[in-house]
Amino acid sequence: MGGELRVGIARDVVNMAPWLSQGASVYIIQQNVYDNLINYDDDGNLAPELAVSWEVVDPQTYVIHLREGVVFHDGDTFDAEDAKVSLDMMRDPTGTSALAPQLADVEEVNVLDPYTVELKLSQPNVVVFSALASSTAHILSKEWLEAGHDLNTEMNGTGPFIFSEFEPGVQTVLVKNEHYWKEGMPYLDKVIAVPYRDDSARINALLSSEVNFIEYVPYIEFDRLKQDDAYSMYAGVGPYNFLHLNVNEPPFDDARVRQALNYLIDRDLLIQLTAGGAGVPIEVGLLQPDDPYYNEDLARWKFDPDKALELLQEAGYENFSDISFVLTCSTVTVHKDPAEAIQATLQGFGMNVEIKYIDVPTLLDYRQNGGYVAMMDGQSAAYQDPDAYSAYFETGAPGYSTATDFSDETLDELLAKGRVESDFETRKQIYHDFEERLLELTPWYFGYFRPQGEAMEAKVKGYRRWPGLLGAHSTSRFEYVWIEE
Amino acid sequence: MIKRFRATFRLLLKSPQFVVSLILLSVIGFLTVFGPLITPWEPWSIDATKRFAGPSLQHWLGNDEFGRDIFSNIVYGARISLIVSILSMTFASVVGVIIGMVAGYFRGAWEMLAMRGTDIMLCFPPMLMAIFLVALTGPSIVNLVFVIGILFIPRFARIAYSSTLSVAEIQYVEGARAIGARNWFILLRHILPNILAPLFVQFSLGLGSAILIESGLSFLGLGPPPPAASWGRMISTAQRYLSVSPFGVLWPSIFISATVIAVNLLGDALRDTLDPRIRNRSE
Amino acid sequence: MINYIIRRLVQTAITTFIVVSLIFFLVHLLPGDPARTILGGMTAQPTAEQIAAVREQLGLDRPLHIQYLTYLRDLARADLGESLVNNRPVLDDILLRVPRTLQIAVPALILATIVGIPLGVVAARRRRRMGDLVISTISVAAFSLPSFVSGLLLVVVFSINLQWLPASGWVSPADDFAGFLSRIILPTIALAVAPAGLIMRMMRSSMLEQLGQDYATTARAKGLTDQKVVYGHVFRNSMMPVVTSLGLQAGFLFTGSVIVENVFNWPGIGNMLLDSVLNRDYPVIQGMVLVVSLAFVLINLITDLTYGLIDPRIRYD
Repeated sequence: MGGELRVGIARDVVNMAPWLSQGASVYIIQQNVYDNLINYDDDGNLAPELAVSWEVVDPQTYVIHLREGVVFHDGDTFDAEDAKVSLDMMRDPTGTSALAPQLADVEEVNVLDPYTVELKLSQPNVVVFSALASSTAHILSKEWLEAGHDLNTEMNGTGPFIFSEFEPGVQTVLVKNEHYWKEGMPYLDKVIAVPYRDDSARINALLSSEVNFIEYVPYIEFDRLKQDDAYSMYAGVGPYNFLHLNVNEPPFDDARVRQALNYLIDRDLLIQLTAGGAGVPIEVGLLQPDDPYYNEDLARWKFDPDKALELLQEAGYENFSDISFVLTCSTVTVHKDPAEAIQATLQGFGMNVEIKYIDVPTLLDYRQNGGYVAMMDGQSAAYQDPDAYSAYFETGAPGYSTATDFSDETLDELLAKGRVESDFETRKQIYHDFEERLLELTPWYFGYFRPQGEAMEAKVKGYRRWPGLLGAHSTSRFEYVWIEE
Repeated sequence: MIKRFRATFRLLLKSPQFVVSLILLSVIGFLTVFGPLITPWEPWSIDATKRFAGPSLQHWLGNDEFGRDIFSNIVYGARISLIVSILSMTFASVVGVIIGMVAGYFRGAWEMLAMRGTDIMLCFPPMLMAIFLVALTGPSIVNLVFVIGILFIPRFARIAYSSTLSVAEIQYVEGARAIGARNWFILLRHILPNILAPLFVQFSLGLGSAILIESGLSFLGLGPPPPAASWGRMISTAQRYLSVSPFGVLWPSIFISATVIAVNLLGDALRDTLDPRIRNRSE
Repeated sequence: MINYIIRRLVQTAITTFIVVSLIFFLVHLLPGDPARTILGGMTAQPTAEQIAAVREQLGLDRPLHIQYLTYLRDLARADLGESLVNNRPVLDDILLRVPRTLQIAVPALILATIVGIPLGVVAARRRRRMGDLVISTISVAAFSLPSFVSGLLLVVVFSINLQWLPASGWVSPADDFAGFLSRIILPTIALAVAPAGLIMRMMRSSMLEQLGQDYATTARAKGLTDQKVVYGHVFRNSMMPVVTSLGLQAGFLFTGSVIVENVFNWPGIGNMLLDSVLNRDYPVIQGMVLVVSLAFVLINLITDLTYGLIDPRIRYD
């Protein structure tokens, strides 16, 4: 067992700073260097990592017991002080942490003893544990942080691999952590991540053995790689595609028009055209059918042009051809393809859609500041909890609401209730009510979950892919992987 | 005048380059103009059951990744590719030649202004300029003409400039100056005809390059947005599916190659025939 | 001559100043914000509060003219600043990348020249015969394929099917020279195809023009052999527009390699440029444009001086 794993990643790492949500390519590096307090087990349930257990002492006091005998890569021993400092930086609203909004209710973090920390909350919030299990909840060393290291270029974690070298555009090298706390792991001696921006270049690198593992396999190669014995292929669904609709601009200032669009654009067709059939349509909200909070009875976004026309006529339009709009779309392939398919299918109904391309930084700007009538986007949930909705639809949420001044009291109330409620059945009902209201308002065209997969040479063994939406984060667990010679 | 034209044409017909290019251009021209009448398919009409289908009786060149008819996309795409290349070269050549001739003829401050001006244009990496324009206004056909045109202005300017430098030193131009001919007259009458040959070549080369640059920009996601399917966009999309179906890359590539070859051969033939100094030799 | 060079260098300084100022204001005109890239980019949903905090930390909240003056002041001390997204010194990264692009651009230019010029001469001398048509057609056909397609085909044939050469990537020649050589072959060819065709065609047309000149006819009439005429005077005089085009090609190769760099995953300056714009990494964009513009101006200066060597009638006053 052992070996050197060469990984083709889709995007170069620009920045090593912790707590940022930079996507799967960066998680491959950061999540193999850093550990969380909490992570997921193979079935996707919360599981201990640097924490050994946690308890809810009262609804506003959570206690986390920490693992003993863990050392950072620089030799420092992990203890409660490290956890406190990391948690404090993670929840700093003016810092760079992606989890700051989810941890906003954490008022203070106290060290009870060298291996116990206590979180004091301003109000009950059951989302905190899921947030701590997300891919950006890195635990750093207090001493190391205080020593003034450059967080953008250096890393010091407790994870299975030690950050050794970063050469922009060429490679990032991780080496085995001999003192990793999981017994006998990791197996690999070295992980070398090589960035391949271009999809064809990445797949060609695998086919020509330049690398032995790639992420973001283009869907068109799924079948070929699955059938080829020389390769192993793991896939699931990852991010979802949708259209932001501007509720203040015609034609989408009328909920009926927004609903009509959801009935008119055939999700199965989009999945056929842009993912070779390997996707999952969004028929309710953003929860997958295997999510415990999923509401089957609500499933209603089926392809139904008659219903769409009916809704449009109620809204005062005579025909599909009376509707025209500009569809803003970034030049990223996974946005461009569905946008083009949507344009073509709507054109088939006589609706006139003009596509306007923007680049990625402009998309980021538009997400928060608006400037579109309809905009194609792709996202994945930041953490595994229905509260992930709040990043988009709560008043003032940076993912959508601020851009369009979208605000609904009912939605806000239900989200607030959901965060506090600890009883599963009651909580489930809250989110069902939430989704019902959301579908009524229909701020988006809800598209589909697109496939995401990793491929590797057959000699790469031990890769574990998480179920469901967590699958996208599976590359953060290279401690299980080895190369069979 | 007509007689002279006819004589030139007869001379042109003797050139194999001209004949080959004439045939190619006629076919491409015919398809561009009448193609949409021949094909029963709308270029945007999608059909999920025909993804990556090979050529058939209904779809002569097969179907693309959305099941769209490749042939109709090619004939519609021809219009966009050709319009972009012709307009951008016209724009670039007119501006570039004026800059270059003025710089090469008047020299002094004009020369410095014009040549440093084109230097500044050259200083901006072409791709950066394209990326900038796209970021500012979004890619569109007009922007493409503008971007590609700007890329070529310095080329025309520099060629016009260096040729003008040589020609302006030739005795008869100096003679014309000596007898007091007006500058614009000398520029148009004596200099322009004598520097046209390399410009012709650059123009014809540029037509081809423009189509190729457009395809490169499409590859980087900076091409015109759909439904305007330029050949370049067709190829850049289809290359992602090369392992499944080669047709999406093959057909538009053939058309691009044919067009580029045709305009270049035409450039050669025109140049050989029209340039007074070269013609001397062949007669 | 010396005066001429000094004057050109002064002009270069002025040109560069204009370019640098233009680019400074242009990059700030672009929509988008480096703070969003720093906070995670596509996959993140940072709050307005976080964005404001990062902007303040980077000094992007200061008035634009202050930022401009600061930039000029640093520039005067030869300080190109640091990348906004990863704090790496801009100059270091540029100096790391430029040689890598040159490692494929220079061989490509040499390859294009040694293929293009002889073919152009042959085509010109066999004008209107089949040889000419064949060479012309092949040269055009070669560059009529978009470079990302020819690059991809090279990879499919030589890397995946034949497994002769690596598909992509760069290794340092200092670490593994053989590996380095095997990796520059395909990108060099992909990059050389278009300029080779262009040089061949420039050479052909320029040569034809010179062959038609009085002096060539006279020389021939005086009984000089065709060989002597062609390789003596005509060839040298034909080089003028070819040098112009070479100069332009060199400049184009330097930055136009973006596409080839993408296909072959070559960590050169083209990829860096693309990244810096997509990250809105202002100091990096500015630094790269500065370096590229200096390179351009120098190439132009060399081109202009070469004119004088080829054609002594041209005066440098």
